[in-house]
Amino acid sequence: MRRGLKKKIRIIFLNSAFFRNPVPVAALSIYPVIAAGYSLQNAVELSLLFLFLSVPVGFLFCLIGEMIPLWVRPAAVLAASAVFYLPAARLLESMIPGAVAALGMFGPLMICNSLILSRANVYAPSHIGWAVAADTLGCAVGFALVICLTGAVRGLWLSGSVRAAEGGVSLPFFGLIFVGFLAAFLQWVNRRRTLRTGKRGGRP
Amino acid sequence: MRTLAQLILTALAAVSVENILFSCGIGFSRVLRAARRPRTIGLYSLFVAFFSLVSMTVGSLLNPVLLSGEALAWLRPALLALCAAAAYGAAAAALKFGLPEFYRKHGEILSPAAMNTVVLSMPYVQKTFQLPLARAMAFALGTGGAFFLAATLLAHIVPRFKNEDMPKAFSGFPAVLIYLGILSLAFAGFTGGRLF
Amino acid sequence: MNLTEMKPPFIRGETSVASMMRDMLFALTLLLALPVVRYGPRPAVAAALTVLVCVLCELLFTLMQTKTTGLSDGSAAVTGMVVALLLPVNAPLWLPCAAGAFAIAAAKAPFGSTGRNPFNPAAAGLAFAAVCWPQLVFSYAATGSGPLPLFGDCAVQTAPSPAAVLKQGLPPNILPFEMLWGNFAGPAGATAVLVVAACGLYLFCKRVAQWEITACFLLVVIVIAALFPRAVFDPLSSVKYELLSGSVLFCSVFMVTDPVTSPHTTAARCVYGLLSGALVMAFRWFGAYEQGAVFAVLLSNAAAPVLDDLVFRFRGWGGELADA
Repeated sequence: MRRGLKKKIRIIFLNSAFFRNPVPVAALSIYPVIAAGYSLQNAVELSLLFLFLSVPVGFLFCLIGEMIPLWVRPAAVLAASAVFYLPAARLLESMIPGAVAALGMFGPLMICNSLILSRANVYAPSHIGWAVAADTLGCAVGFALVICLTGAVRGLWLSGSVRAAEGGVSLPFFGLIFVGFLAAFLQWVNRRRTLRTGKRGGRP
Repeated sequence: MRTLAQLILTALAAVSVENILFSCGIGFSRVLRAARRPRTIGLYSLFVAFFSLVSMTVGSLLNPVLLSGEALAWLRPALLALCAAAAYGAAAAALKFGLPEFYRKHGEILSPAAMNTVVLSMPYVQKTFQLPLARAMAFALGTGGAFFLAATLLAHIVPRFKNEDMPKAFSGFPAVLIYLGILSLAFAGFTGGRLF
Repeated sequence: MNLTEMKPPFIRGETSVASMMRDMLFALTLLLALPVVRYGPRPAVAAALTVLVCVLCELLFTLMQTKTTGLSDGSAAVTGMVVALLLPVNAPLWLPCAAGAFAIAAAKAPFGSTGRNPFNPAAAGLAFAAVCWPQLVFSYAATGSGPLPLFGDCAVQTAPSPAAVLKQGLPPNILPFEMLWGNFAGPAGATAVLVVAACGLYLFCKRVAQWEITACFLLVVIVIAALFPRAVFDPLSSVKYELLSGSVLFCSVFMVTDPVTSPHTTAARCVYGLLSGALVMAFRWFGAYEQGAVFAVLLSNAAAPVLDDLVFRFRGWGGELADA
């Protein structure tokens, strides 16, 4: 049974982090990646902020989500996200001084990150603790992978360094096109997996 | 007359030159979801405009309090989100108990519209909560217009991205993202760079 | 009964996509003549390289998709030519190649290639170049620079184009009549306005391009230019400068008339032409760059399906959009 549980946790984690990465597959949390992911520094800071915010919000709604009526749950999730943003931002600031100010409006926009809100609103209340933990951490890893890759490529393109990009490719359009190609790659990978295992699937 | 012209220009700017949806990519996730249900786009956009209006109005009222002290600057985004949550809760309660049939049919787009409000208003919150009330309201209406425009365009074009000529890897969502990227590129012709 | 979905361009008679592209290529090649005479073979080399890059990109995608090679219908070559003709003659050779590669790899191939692309690929490639390297895209060799080096960078004197001067709210220091001969700083193929007009007539007579789009496009540009001059001169001069400067005429003939990305009904095409013209002027007034025609083309392309749908609904032909 323990082996079965570990396998399930691994599947949930891997799906959230890679094969059904919510950014290129489910169109969640697009904005931070395309608009803020123009430098690796931004990418790392936002990834940490995402982790610090999504974990407590996810666990809270895993515990109390089902007690809250469906029609008021979105407001509760948003309110909780707003409240948890404050300590999350402080924690990020203590780890990387000046990070919150450097992020500008991208940091506060994580409060209404569609991935955090949708997982807390829909997934967390209806799943048990370990599943929520695996999914939340998987989403955090998946988000970090996509945004860091985008930031590194854009930084490398123009300045020859992964640290920062200035100019055209730092604009959201390039992020969208890059994530589009990432999504195509993921779709190709999932299709090959499906063909190999002979199962139908791979839809978000 | 001049004030009216300014308001119209603010609203138009929110749709075109300062279209933060296409120029900055803010709120695309929800636009994509709205585009999947074309019949609700109009109502969705109205909800976005309504919640933007409420948030901007409350923001303008809270301005004198929030502008004092740096400590409160930290709270500003969280307070905007709490305003939006309260606005959504009040609207949902009013509709659920006042117009239950309407809520039953359209209630599920209420919360994404409220979330989108925070997303679309946040850039202005960070820069300044100091838009005069009338211009803030015009901006809110323009935001709803921008959302409607984006969702309508997507609703018409997305069905075409599942044809047999496309590489299978790009079929569906990847093509949508690239399409949005090129559209965002077009709007970059207005802004020339970052809007914020 | 089995129904087969056809993809644009929807053409009748003995024309084919390949013959349309041949006519377009012929017209575009004519436009190369003047820059080659003035600046040497470099514009031709740039055009050839860009066409090669575009064709290679398309072949690569075809290989990856269908695992077979095949000759393209000529649309990639047209894209390459348009990109090269709308960039400066003194641009580094990698610039049109980069724009051409983006045009095919991002704006055409992922959507299913010819007939399925929602945007004019050349417009997308040029917009990409303009946003990423504006200092190269809008830096034009001064007239009289003489033959440019065939390869390598061009260290020539540059001059502001009439479009750039207008953008600053000043009248250009060249008379409209003199602009007819194309002897002023500007994109390689867009300054020869008489040749552009002749190419337009040729394409309209061959029914490769739709005249109603161009007519409506130019009508709106003329009206807005007359009513809202960007510098202190009379309406007629404003119209002349707006039409002759930048890439307005070129776009009106070669880009907005793209049969794949423009609407398919006559009424919608007229509205599309009006919208494109209005957007071009909006970009000229409020845009970040001296020329915004390519951005206007992209936005108009996005509106084209909506316009067709509106016409269908108005005539009671079509149904409603279905939920995905």
